[in-house]
Amino acid sequence: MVTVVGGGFAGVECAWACAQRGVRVRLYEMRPTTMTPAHKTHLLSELVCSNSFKSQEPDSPAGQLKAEMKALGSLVIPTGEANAVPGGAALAVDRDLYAQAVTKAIEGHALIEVVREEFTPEMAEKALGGPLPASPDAGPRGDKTNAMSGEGTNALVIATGPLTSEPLAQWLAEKTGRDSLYFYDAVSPTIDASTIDYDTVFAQSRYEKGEGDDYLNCPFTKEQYHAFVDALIKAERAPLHDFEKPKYFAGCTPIEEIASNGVDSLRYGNFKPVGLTDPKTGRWPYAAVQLRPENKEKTLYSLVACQNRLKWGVQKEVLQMIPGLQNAEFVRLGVIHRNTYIESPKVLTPWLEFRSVPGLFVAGQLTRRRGSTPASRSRDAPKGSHPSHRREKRPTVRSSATCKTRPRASSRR
Amino acid sequence: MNINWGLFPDPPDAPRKKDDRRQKKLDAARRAFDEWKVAMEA
Repeated sequence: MVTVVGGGFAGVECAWACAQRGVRVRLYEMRPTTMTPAHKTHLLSELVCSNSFKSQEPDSPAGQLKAEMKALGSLVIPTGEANAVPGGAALAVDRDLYAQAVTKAIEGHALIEVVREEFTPEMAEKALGGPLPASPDAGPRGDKTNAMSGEGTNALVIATGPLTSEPLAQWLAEKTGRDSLYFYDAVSPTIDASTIDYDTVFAQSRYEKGEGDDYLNCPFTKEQYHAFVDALIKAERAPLHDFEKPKYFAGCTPIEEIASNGVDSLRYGNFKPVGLTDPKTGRWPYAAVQLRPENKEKTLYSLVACQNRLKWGVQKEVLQMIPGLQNAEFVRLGVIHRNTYIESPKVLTPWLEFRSVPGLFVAGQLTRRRGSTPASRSRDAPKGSHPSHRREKRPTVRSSATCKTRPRASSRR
Repeated sequence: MNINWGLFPDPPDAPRKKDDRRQKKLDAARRAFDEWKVAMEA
């Protein structure tokens, strides 16, 4: 049996992969008993940030990754495709329908038992067959046959993601012999579609990819853009703990931080207008915010790349300065949350097994892979090292080229 | 960082044009995946 902890992207992919290969799986998910700062539901594989799985174009790295995952029997990619919403070149999904479908598939699999309970360090040590060394300096556990003897488990996979519960994160930090590392991630706001000013926005995908009109675009004039940036920089921000430095993942830096780097930073980045021709002027606007449908009915739209950590009152006021959103009603405002990850190259083998604890694996964003697709791809450990192969004692084969993505935080150092 | 072609080393005799370099990397990725899958299934 394989024990998987965490019912996010990597956890469900790992559980599914093992079960499809005939291995019994016990999947622990602490929601809804214990919620996280970002999750809203009890559903497995819930998307807490963007509803986009990135490009599905076959000649892009993300598209190739998807093709590889599908070839290996992925659950999340075909489910995402079955619950897609218009997203231009990207695979964007209706996050509720998608998560419901994944939950149904996992809970309905005969070989997967879903346990709705917080997985504690004590349970981990019991599953691994007793107390573990305090750090990798204590050396690897010599006898693999004794590992995983508790409760008949052959492998324990921690796939708890960046929102790992504090006790488990602390336990992982102790086992790796290093302080827990973290950075901040931010979530974009979502608005009610009926409150958008459709006389101002225009429907168009960048360079008319996809269906050509998958996105709504809020076009800024020069004056509107500068007024927005000015208000954004001056707006009050939600405080961080005193002892925490605001380290952000580069792809999710709050817009107020980007704007603080220079007045043009946003219009050459998150708000770039290239490939968006305003039908009123026949030209690209000075800057543009894109709105992407959140659901198939298009009753909700998310503000693309508008993640921020402004205080909620002022956040509404500032975002309503975006042309077309002057009367917008927000069903979710931007927030930031702390993410945890481990230093994979130092503590894990190439197949994501702890060097110091045979039988203990890590999958998903805890390994510092960025984004849902690369994170869920990480469960595709090589033959012989995949938890489902543990009982078979097969030789190890290194993973494929696209799988060998560089750890995600390397660019921020 | 999301996955992108910049994460992969340039192929030997890398073409000057960016699109051609990317295509070569894509071909290598597809070849490596197919070889890995065959090895896994053997």
